[in-house]
Amino acid sequence: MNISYLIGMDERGRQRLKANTCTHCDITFFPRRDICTNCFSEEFLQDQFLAEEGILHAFTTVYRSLPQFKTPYVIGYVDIPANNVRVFGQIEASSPEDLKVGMPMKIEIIETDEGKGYKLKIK
Amino acid sequence: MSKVFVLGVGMTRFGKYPEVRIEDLGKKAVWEAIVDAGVDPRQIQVAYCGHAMQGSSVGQRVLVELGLTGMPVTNLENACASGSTAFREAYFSVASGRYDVALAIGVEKLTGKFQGALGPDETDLEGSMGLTMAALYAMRAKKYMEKYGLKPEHLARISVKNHKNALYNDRAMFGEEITVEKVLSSRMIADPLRLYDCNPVSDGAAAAVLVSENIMKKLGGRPVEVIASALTSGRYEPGFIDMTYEDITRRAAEEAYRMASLGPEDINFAEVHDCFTIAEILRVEGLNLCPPGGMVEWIETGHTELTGPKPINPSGGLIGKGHPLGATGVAQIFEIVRQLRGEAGPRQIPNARVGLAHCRGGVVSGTEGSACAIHILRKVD
Repeated sequence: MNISYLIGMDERGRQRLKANTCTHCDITFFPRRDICTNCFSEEFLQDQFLAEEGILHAFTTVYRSLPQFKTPYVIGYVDIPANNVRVFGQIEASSPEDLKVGMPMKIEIIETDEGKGYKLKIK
Repeated sequence: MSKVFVLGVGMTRFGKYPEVRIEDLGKKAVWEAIVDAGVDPRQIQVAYCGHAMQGSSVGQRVLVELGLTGMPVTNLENACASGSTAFREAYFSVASGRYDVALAIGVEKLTGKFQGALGPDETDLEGSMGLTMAALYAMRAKKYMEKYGLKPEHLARISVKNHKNALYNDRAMFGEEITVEKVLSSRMIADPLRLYDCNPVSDGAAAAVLVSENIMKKLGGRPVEVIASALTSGRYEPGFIDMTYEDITRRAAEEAYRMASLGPEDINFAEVHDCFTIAEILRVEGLNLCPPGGMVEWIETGHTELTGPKPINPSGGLIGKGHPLGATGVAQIFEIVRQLRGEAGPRQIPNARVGLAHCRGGVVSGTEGSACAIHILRKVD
């Protein structure tokens, strides 16, 4: 699936994950939403980008998956405290043993056959 | 609202039946339920058929095999909770006073339907990046292990229990005495969940006939009363949620207990959606049958064994019995009815008076899940 729509360029020319914030409710959404899930208004939504760093919350190595995925691979969730957003993604680590819950991670935008994408990597 | 009773239940043995048509599975379960209820088939006024991926007009395709045509039929999908949702609709169709005799059907053929693993719908964002059901629950297992000191051996014991219970269930796909070692040496699916921690690919069908109090009094038989029906969908919650919490189950349970005017202490036994071993643990706590983290001790003391104070999944659960997605919810009702009637044979729970069926399904990115359906049934004296 093409997830390029999740990625955009910030004011400094960096590729980052696109989010938006309802300034009325102070909630940040990733992916971007058309309507705030708390106040159900579109009025206060402001585009922004997710911070590029976070903390590893959970991960697993997948050994059996759908035909389009080459196993084994590692997936997980990284918490971005700057935005109060949890991000899911494929994790790139030279060895899963290196991964520890609570460790600093970064989001890296990548190019794939289907367009832009992102991976979660150890910071 | 009027009182509603389950008068008849039926189910096929769950298993892999690549050569058997879904219509044949369905009709077998439906006919058994009709005969069990002692109703004239022509008395059935309305039908609800739950399934996850069987195509168009499944209910009608099953019912035409029995010549039961012309009535209002509704087919519905709610992922793994499709069957329970069908049962719920049948329940309300009678409780509303509109109908006296309703049929709930749950059917699924999974063999040949998908390859490799089950994940969310193909348009789901996390699914498109590699999230499978097993992977999601694997992460939840790890969080629970971090938080409460659960070990892989504890997970394995759930599998051992459910395979053993299934041994006493002639409708279960499996049924064998396995050991913790066997579970812990089985193939890894998504760390730490192994093959024996997961429910199998299965085909099957189950059905129930629900009637009003009027019909129950006229026909007699062996009715069981439905005293609660609750359904929730996962909430979109931004921020950092606790992956061990089971919000969707908690909200459904609160609604069900309130409707039945009961508390978790009044539930004698439960059929709980154990799509993976960790799921049973999270849900027994989600149902408030056990305090958060308490399952570690309950597993060690055998609290949820068939002979324990709070038997969970006497049928063998999804892990032992099999999990044809749409059929499961109605199969749970089959088990509860049999237990409350005293017809569960070698797996009979003594003095069973109140049973709870918890069925949950689906993954939708951003929420905890598609649906959780809970029903509470009580023995009729």
